[in-house]
Amino acid sequence: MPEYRKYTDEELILKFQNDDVEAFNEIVFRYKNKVVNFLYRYTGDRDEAEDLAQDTFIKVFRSKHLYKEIAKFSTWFYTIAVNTAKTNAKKKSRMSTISISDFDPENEKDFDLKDTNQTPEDNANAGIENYYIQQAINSLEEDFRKIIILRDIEDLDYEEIVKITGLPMGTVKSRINRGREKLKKLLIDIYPYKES
Amino acid sequence: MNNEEQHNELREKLLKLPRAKAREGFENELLRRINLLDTGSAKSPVTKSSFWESLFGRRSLVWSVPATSVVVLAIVFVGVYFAFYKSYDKQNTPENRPSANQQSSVESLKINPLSQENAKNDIPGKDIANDLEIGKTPKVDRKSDMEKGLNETFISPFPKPVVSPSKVNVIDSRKESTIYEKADEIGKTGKSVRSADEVESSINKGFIKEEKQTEESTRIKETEKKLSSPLLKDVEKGKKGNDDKAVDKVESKEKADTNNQADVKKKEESKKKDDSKKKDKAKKSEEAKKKESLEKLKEEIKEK
Repeated sequence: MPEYRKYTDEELILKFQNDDVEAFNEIVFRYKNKVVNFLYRYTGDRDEAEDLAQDTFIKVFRSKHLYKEIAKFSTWFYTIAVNTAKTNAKKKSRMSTISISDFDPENEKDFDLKDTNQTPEDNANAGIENYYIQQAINSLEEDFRKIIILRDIEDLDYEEIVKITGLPMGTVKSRINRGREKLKKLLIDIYPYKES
Repeated sequence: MNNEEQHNELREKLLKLPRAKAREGFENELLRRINLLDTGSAKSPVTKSSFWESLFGRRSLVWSVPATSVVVLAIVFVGVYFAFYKSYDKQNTPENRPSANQQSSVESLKINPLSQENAKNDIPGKDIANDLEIGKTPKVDRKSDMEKGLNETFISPFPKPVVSPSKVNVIDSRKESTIYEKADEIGKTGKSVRSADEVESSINKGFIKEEKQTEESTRIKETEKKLSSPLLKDVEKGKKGNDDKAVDKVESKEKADTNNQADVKKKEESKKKDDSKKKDKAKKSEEAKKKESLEKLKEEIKEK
């Protein structure tokens, strides 16, 4: 394993394309924490983030031949992670709402109950600050949340975010700006920011 | 002011957030899932099954095997049935059906067993006769059956072939019957015996006699062809079990026909010989006359 440390990500994936499983193990070692953290911030659920991270690695394992050297491996990898998270969010949104009006036809009001797994107990280990920041991130719209996480938490540069999201540079920049503004408003009660 | 600088504080806070780490058994769990996927994909290889396998391979469609076989058999049966039905219809077309007048003649034929025999000989396909077997006389195995003749109460189990009455000449068939009767007598005595009517007609109408002879000779040839044809043989074989008498009768007639034919040929030959002799005599007499006249002329010339 240590001998694989010297290789770049791109070299590792090329080796893995030539059926070198050790190269894949090195990729997992390098990216498992990054992707788990990204997905945890994206979903707000640790277990879900772990499952999604494993799904991401499985997708990489199965579709290794699709990677081409025209892009950075990290870009390709995060693209897979983002798409996995997106599809999972869609599945969740379908399953998390239950319409009561189906059971009570006389009452025309819809009582949509949101299925939230977030409990204070789940986040007992996290500090209060982190908890509220995470709540603020979760309350952001998906388009803003994804870009804010990639830029401000994963610390990816603009060009990489452009490649991962497939959006134009201007759109990415504006969304980052607007996302930060929204996040600030959400956290203003907890963190009084000084306006410069 | 730059956007990054504007939200610098927020950015620092976000970067300082504690980073979530993968659990200890993350890699093992991942390996387990990958192995599961591999075994799952290995267990279900995509194989192209053939048409018959897809049709009969499933257990739920086992009943389709006898069902399809029954359907196929039914289709074949219906096809064969209609093929025979069409051939039967062709035989019974309105053109071949007898008219009211013809029906009466057919009824009269039915009464006369010998004429019925003629009708049996008019089986379609008789023209396909084997030329090699023409001239051969069929063997008569049972003389007792031949002597018995046709029994009127006898009913053949096989259906009688449909005969178009237009093809059957009633008069000719009757003529033949007289010839067959005489042929038996010829066979016994070795001499041709004629009735008084026939003798008179032969005297008065010589040309009618000649016509009859030619008709008889052609009819004899036809009967020989019929008997030698494989189709007829098959038909007769089929009937042999129940219709032996009729067959024997036919065979006796054929014998008579052959004898008759031989007599006719002998007569013709004798006539030809007589004619040639007469002609020779006439020629000789003419030549003698010419010689005499020439000699007379020579003597007269000498005298002069």
